[in-house]
Amino acid sequence: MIKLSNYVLYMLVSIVWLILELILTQYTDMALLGIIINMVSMIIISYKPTYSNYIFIINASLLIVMGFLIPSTFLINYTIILIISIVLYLLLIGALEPYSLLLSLFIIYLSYIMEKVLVNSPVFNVINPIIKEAGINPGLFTLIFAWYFSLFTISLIIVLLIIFLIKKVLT
Amino acid sequence: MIRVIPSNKLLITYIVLSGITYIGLLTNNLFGTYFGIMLFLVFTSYVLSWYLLAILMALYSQLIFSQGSVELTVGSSATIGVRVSSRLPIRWDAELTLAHSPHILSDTLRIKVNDGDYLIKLVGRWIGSTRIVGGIMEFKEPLGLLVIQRLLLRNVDVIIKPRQVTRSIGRTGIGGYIEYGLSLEGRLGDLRSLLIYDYERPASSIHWITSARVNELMMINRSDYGSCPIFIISASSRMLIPRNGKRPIDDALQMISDSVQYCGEVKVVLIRRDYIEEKVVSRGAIPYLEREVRIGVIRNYHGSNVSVDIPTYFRKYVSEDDLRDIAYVSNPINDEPLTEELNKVLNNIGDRSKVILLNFDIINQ
Repeated sequence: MIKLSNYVLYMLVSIVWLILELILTQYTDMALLGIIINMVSMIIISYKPTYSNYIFIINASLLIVMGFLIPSTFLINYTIILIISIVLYLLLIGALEPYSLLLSLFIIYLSYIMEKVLVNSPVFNVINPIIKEAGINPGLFTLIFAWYFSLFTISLIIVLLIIFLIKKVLT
Repeated sequence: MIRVIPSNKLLITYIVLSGITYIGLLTNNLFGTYFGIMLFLVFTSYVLSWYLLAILMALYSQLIFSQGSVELTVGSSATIGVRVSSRLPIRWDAELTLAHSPHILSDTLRIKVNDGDYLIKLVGRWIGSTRIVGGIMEFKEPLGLLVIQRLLLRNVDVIIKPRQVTRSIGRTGIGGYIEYGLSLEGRLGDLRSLLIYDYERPASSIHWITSARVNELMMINRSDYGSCPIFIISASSRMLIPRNGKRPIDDALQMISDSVQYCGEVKVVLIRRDYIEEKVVSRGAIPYLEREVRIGVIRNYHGSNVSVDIPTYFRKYVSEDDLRDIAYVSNPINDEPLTEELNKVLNNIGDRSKVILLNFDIINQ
């Protein structure tokens, strides 16, 4: 695999974010601020590449705040592009372990299946009116609850598997 | 033999991720909820996968050394090849720290599991015979969220020899003993007198020149001890406690080694409270002499006050025998020899001019 320098990688992710921010200018004024900060960051990084981690965090948080202000039409695409750019950047600078990331894709797929099963379960029909009374969007709650629960189940299985293996191999 | 150390970063990341999700939920904002949950999903599954893979790597890995024993001189260095192989066919970054006594110094090595041999440099610090009992392999999550340590056991004997002094003619040895005149004759014992040959004594003791002169078989009467010095060393715990990185016993052993070069073998008397032992030591046996003194002292400690350079968590997994071998003394116990004990030894030897006392503290009992 070709190893790109952290500077080049930061510039690539900055360009992606710059395009995102340019699209966002239609929806929110904050995008302009984002563009200015992004440009300034690129200049700073050119002189001091060691600050790339901090500046990455500042720009990413700015994009997350912007995310709260955009309409739902562009929302899913924006979220996915943002997450993929963050994860790819971290992977390429070596902050994420590639094998683990591959395995995690499989775990996400498993929890996706579990989530689909859970959402259709009749338990939510009972809970939803109570959630509505509390003033929380029942659709969002169901989504969060189903994902959390499926991931929780998978983690529990993995942790139990690890404990079992440790006992078996080391005794 | 596996230890998992989570960091605070893990907790902070989860607080931030759930914070975003709950803000989205409470403000009925779709982005916050989606983004929070997606990040949560990616992050949790990643940490879980890393944890699972690292544990599997650690569980099924073993440490292999390129040789079963290492010999080096104090102050110099030697290298030993190490390899960590795991049954999981993945190349994985790790750090390896060897577990040994402070007799040798070694650095933490960055290795790749399942990726060939790496060389570790060992520097001899103290004279003695010790061993490497294995190593602690550490997997660090690149973001610093988790650390997984695994103790890998594998023994390698290490012998750290004293420095070899270069021979030079006319050099004065320890205690004024000069190399010349310390040849065979001196080593066999000093010439005390000439006697008429006793036919029961070995014929090699006949002194032919005198026999020819007096026309009768004459033989040499030698003293019991040779011209080589007799060392009396304090073998108390104080000898083993380092001061500025050096132990008193190392200087004593170096002196013995220097005189062994002239004499071949020397007599060494070890004295500790309630313990006197006489030994004939050759050059190769000096590291084992240190080991004997050290193990003897450590046995008197009954577990307390003895330090081992292995994290407490892993100590229970190392055998008692191995632990004793890599243990070192950090606090003295009251085991200095008594005056009577020293006098007893001196009286036994008789000729005090050959005796060299090493590292005796003021004995006031």
